[in-house]
Amino acid sequence: MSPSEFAQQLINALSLGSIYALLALGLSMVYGVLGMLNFAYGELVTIAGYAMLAATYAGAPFLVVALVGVLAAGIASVLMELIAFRPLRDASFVSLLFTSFAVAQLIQGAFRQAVSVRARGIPVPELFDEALQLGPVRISVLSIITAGIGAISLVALTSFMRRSRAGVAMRAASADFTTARLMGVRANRVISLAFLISGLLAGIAGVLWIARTTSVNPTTGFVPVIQAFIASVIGGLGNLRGAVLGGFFLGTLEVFLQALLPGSLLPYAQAAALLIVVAILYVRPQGLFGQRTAAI
Amino acid sequence: MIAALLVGSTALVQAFGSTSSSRTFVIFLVNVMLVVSLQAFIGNSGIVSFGHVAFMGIGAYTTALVTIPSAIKASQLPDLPSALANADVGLVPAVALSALVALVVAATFGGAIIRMTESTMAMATLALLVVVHTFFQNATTFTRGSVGLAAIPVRTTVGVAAIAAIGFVLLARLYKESGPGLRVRAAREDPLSAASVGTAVARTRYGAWLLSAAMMGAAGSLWAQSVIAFNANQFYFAITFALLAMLVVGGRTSITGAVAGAAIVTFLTDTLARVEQGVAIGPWELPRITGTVQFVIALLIIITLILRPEGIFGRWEIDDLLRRLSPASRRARRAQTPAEPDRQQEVPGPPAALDVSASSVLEGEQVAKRFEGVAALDGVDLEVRSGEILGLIGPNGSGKTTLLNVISGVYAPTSGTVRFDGRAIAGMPPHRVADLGLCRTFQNIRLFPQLTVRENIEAATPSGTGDGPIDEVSAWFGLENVQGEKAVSLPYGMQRRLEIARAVVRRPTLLLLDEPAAGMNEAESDELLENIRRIRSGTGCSVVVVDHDLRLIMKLCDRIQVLDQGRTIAVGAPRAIAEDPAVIEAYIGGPSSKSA
Repeated sequence: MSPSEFAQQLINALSLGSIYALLALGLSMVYGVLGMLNFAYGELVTIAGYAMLAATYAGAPFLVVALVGVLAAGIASVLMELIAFRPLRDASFVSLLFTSFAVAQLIQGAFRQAVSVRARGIPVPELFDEALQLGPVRISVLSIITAGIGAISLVALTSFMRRSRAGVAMRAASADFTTARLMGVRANRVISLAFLISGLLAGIAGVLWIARTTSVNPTTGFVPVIQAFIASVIGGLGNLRGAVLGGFFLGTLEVFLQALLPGSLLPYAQAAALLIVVAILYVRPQGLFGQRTAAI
Repeated sequence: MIAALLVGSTALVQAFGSTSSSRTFVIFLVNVMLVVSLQAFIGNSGIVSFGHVAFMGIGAYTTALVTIPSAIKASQLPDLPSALANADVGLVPAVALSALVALVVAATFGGAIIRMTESTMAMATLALLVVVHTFFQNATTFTRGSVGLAAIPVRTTVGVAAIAAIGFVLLARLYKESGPGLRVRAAREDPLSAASVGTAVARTRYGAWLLSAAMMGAAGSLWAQSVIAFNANQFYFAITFALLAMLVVGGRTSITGAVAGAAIVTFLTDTLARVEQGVAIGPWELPRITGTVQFVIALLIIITLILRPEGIFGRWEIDDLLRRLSPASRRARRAQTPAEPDRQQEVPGPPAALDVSASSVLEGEQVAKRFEGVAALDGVDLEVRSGEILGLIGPNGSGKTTLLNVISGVYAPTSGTVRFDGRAIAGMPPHRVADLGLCRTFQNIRLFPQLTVRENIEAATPSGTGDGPIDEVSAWFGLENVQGEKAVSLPYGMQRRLEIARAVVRRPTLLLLDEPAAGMNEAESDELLENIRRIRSGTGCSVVVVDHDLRLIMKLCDRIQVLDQGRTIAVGAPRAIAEDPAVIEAYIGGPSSKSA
């Protein structure tokens, strides 16, 4: 692989990795606060996509379309928690997992019925198709934008979590929910906030994902969310920083596997990445960046 | 019992059913096999596996490859290696081979994931599903990917399916009640205390994983031989979802529930499939709707989880009903006296000043344990002499429980050595320490809540099947009348006794009791005292007791060791300890305060 090709793939990795990082972060956030793995998380990406579709039909410019997508995902996330998960607040991990699985199927079914099984195209600005030439390296504008927005979102989120009261409350709740409540943190507010933020993250990731694929179908959110799950596990479930790093790691792994694998093995890129992850977890069951918890 | 029901319904369907209801019945029976296989892992271990459908697919493809008539096979899969191209086997070899291939894949993958935590393992099984699905879709030489394979001979007739389903149910039942099955369930309830009474958690779970994978492969084989044709897209989320729905709706841990769940979901799917075609209800004609099946099943799952989280049948097995109705158990319940310990069982013998030999059963040297920056143990020496009762006391945070945890293998010490019966055990996992003869109880009672009293004790025996003095130990602790009760339903005092009984049934050489008198009044403490003395004189084991009840400790123990802030501040006979100024200061205050 030549240096320029390497640089190119690196940018691709950063771009894809940003999307996975945002999703993994959203997943880990909810896991940290509620202890649940939200299988319906991918549906938020799908919802963002269909909201974008609606906005496009309404004739809005792309910037508005994107905004609509992000907001739709955030609102849907909060509603999801209120309707489906709050009644099961104290249920076991497995019950919540099954519920979220069911919710995901419900939403997919709803879109299949209400819109169509087939994909619908979403026009994106021509700007995204262009590429910049920096010396020998061709970088697509979309990759830059994706990586850029990803970075900005993560920085904004980090500063929110560190500096604002709500953010600190959430981190406290992530670390130890019961104690945080005893210290005066309002449980329902924190949880709703966690779902709102993770929903917005899914929305941003969704917009970026659709900008690449330019279409939406009922299972759009499904593919990236599996990657997000794996990424958050690599990072150590509940570990926010680990989730981000895990997302970038997985994105890099996938991009470079796709670049390096011979043509006949190309369809196995994702599978290969997953197997590598399982191997990593075998060696380090707590994930690359997680902490080994004591036995009790 | 379920077997009888299945036989009965099979007869009915054969006698009165049309071909379409026969077909539905076979689908139901195959679903029973699939869900019972899945449950053998999920129900017993409590860990969700998303990947089992991969084994079903492996079984299906293996069977297809060896049963499709060679001529047709050649046209579908021209590039098969000749061994496979020429293979043409009957029903039983196909099923056996499918189970075997699934087993091999499960053994490899399972070995990698079995030590993970529950949520990580669930994710890993998700990865398995995706990886195997990708393989099915792309290894077109063997699978023809999304186009799929066809012309598999139909060998799964109603009769075959019924016999097989009954076999699966019986196998699942046998496993659940066996030694390994009980231990997996104990590990599901409380992995830590299961390990402390000798269960090698990862290894036992691995067994459940392998069995359920092989069963799933066999079920996939029978499925393939009933559907004639299938493709790679079928072994992915749709069917995983349907199977999980059956478990959720019927009851995750109960085999009866699994069968019921299979019935409900099969029936719903069948009915809804008809509705989707556009059905007339009275004067109205419903339009064609797609996707109702998924939708309704999803709703069903959510409603069940909100209203009856354990599923319709919960943990109830239909055999429990029979047991309650049987004349023998009716008599036993009528004769049952309120659960009070049998006080006539006192073992006569001299109390504390027993023949304590000078040899030591446990030696700890300079044991230290740090957590990040905190030194919970800062170089503690410990000696437990053979046959003695040693008390371990100290203010909160002095390191008593940490010391017990290090000795019993829950933690590895940061430094220092621990020798038990001459063997170095520091850092050994809890179940191996238990195997060597060191058992313990926990500060917050850690029973197996959903298992019965008898099962709790049985799970602690060396083989898990009850090779130990279960009845005597139960009688000692007054538990003989509550053997069939779930541990979680016992009153607090009995739960404590059960925990000790469980630790004692292995005839340990050393018993560690962590705050056994917590929450007890004076009468109960006295009783506990007698129990502990009885254990020591009856079995000759040594005991270390950690507690805050100084009255109990003083009366019970031969020697007492006092910890404070991770260090030993005094060791000796009770009298000497009570008068030791350092001890008084640690517990009560400065030298100017009046002693107790």
